[in-house]
Amino acid sequence: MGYAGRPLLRDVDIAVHRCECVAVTGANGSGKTTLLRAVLGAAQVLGGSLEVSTPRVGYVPQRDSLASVVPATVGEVVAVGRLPLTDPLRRLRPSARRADREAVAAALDLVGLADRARTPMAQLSGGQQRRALVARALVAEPELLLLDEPTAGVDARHQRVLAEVLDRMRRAGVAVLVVTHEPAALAGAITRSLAVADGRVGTVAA
Amino acid sequence: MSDLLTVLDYDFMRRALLAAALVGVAAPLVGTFLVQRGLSLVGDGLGHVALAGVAAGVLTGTAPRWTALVAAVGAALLVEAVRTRGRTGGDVALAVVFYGGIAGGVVLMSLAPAGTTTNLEGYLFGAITTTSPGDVRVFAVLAAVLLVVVTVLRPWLFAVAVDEEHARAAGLPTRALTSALAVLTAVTVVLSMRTVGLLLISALMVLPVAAAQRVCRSFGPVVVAGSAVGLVASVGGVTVSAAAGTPSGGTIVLLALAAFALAVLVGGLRRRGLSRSWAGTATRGARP
Repeated sequence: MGYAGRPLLRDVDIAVHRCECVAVTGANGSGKTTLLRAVLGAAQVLGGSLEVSTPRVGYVPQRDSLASVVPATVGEVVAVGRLPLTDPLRRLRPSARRADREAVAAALDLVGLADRARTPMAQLSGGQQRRALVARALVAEPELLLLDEPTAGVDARHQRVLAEVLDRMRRAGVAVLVVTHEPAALAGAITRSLAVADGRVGTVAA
Repeated sequence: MSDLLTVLDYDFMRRALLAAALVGVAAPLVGTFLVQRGLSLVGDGLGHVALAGVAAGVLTGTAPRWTALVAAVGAALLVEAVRTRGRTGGDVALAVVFYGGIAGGVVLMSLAPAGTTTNLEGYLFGAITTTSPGDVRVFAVLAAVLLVVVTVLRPWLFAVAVDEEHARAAGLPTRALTSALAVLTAVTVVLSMRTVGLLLISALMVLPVAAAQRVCRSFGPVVVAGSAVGLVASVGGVTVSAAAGTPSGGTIVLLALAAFALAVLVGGLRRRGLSRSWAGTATRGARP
């Protein structure tokens, strides 16, 4: 796996199944995000094969903030997560729009931002914005959830909340793959760990 | 006031006001997404290319609005292809397309046979009082198409504008959406060239949005408020220019600038009022 024909990861032989929460750890620049981006189709698979058995993928990117030139509220950004589940005709139905609003409200409640739906994203702290992006991934009702450093900038209390959310998702049948520098923060959810080093992916003993 | 009202007595002024209203509402609709994506000046560049299309129309005896539309749409899709492929020097490629367009347009215009009416100045700076009944019908259809497409696709265009990486990862058709926005921008440029001219078109797409985002807290209201500001600036600008004898394109843009300045003032006063309210609350809370 790599970019522009240059491999960054070699001999990758892993599988992530439903009801698993797999953490990927490693030093900066080791290729953790490349593994995630390969699953998303944003990095090249230069040899072998990669199979993603579901189109319902939720993704939380590694981003310090989601700066919006034109003001956008938390609710508006999180609602974007519902778009893979809808189409212009469906959106004409009041029942569909109500279901979307309820899903957004539930996701915001899960990540502790229930009272921030009408707040402009720019007014949130970095950690709060990261939680909003998690909510955006959750409203998509994913079967595969990919998270890149979801706890960066998040306070300890909400790291525990996030761990509980991921564990709940896992138990409900979602496959979770999370890149993290802080596996201890998500220990309550993680079922297996992988370590990326020297361009290879290895299993971390329990 | 009576002088202002008498402008409505003339057919050409009623057509001009109607054309201004259509453009004033439509241009900021598309402009909101361009501003969000950091592409505020792409309308300016497409205007340059549209001039080459106008020149081709003049030389071939084809209605310039259609040849301008073909040129602008082609350039918009080319620019989008360059951007998405992420080639180094993408901004250089854009400069080549845009400046090649305006240079080509000026040179092609000079090749028109002697006696051919080119009206170059009108295309560059606008000539809304020359709007014909046929022009109004075309404007109405183009504006209606813009309004319907933006309204239907707004959530998807917003998703791509705010976070294209996530939209792609979520399986949204990002390439089709960004190409659609490029085509909508080209249509807006051609729609607006008679109103404010090809050199000022970006102003009408961007300034009303810039004003709206100073006073609105969320994306939906910015879209609506931007069109409202665009409508007032366009119709107001044509009216004032008729009364004062000033060029309509420049007058419209100056009114849009005035709206932006007013929005900056109002937004600043609101934030100061909110700050004082929070400070007062904190002070009352601190009292024993």
